Amino acid sequence: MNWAWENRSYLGDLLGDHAVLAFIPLAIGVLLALPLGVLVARSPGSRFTVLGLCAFLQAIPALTFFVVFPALLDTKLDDRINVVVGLTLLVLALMTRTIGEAVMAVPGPVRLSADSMGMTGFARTTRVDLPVALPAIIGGLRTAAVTCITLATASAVVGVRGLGTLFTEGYETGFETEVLVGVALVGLVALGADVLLVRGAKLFAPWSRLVPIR
Amino acid sequence: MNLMWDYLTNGDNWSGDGGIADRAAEHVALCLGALLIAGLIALPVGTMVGHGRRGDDLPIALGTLGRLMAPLGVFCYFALKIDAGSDAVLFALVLLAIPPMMTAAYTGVRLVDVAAVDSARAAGMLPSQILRGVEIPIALPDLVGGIRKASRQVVAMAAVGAFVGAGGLGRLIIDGQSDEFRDYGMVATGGVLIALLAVILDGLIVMVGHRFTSPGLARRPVSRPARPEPAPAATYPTMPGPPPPPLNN
Repeated sequence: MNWAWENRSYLGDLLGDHAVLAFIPLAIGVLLALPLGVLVARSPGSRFTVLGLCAFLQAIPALTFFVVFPALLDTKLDDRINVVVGLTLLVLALMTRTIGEAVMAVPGPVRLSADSMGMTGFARTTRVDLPVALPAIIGGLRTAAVTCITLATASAVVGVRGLGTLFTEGYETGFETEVLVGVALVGLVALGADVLLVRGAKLFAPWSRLVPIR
Repeated sequence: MNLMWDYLTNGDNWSGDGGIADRAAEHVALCLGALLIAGLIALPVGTMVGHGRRGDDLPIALGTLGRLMAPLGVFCYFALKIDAGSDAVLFALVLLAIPPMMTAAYTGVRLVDVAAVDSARAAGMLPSQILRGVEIPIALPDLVGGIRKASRQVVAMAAVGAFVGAGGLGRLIIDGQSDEFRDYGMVATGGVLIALLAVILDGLIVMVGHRFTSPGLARRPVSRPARPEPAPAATYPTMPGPPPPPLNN
């Protein structure tokens, strides 16, 4: 523990790098997944293609993305862009599916009432469908956030800086404490994000308590 | 991509000690071993907890903890604690594969329709028979889902395990970066082959699971013979009405 305190500025740097690796993909992925998920729910024709693509993306290990993108994007192997793009794709796949399923699960009578109030399609989507689906969407977001934070550490294997660097350094120098501090830090960040999302759901979507989010 | 193609089409890279074929076999062995051990521990415990409806905290806590663990960190820790190499990675992989399987087994059995369990009990089935004959078959799609999730993670993480000296396709990624090779084609090949292996293994698990799932539980509705005509609505005795008027008057 003394080691962690003495190197707190180093840990802070890595934490910042890790936040870039984990949270930027999360934000971009969710923003892209919103329209896609609504599209999936709205048009049954696109459902098969889009959801199939998502299932395919989810089956691919993150490490594959990290090592293949340098060729596709013409970047260096240890460039953090690869990690950001790879994790964005993973989040996109996960959240498109979650949002699509959540919007499709909005009860029929709710939609009917919205339609009979004279709401247009866009108003119904933004003011009825998405709010009703929000608890389920936040449930998916929790999984996505935790996955992003823990998977980003794997990128240390190809030399990207982040909290995973603590593992590779600790292993190479045979310094156990550093590895343990890394595991604890990653776990704490993931737990923090998870708790924050649950709190956020309670605060901004009080109706979440009607539908328990797992 | 050209570099990768060069690497793939060079026959020397395929055969021999540490060739692609060798590495793929190591990877499959490592993954199947970890999945088997983890399954033997997680699935019985998960189903028993779901069946007994007691001790719910165990799978829930394990599932949460398992999600928060960074795999690479676990590998490095065990590699330092035990010994670098496949043994430490196998041990860590088992630990990582247990939570998803146990959670799936627990929720699957737990969410079996109570009416089905009650009718089985009413039909005189013993608890063990209910578990084997009702709960496990109904929960099977969930069990398969849990195994799929675990296999995806294990295949991906076994590759990361190469960092601490395990065999498998991850070696291509690690060794390709080392000064000895400095070959990006080798790294990319490793990445693509891992994805391929993950997809194939996933497909196999789906197929085997489908083979054992009762057709009544498959997502797609089974084609069944047309329903018989509905029986005519029951006729109730009616009050005697006034007598019909005589026809010829």
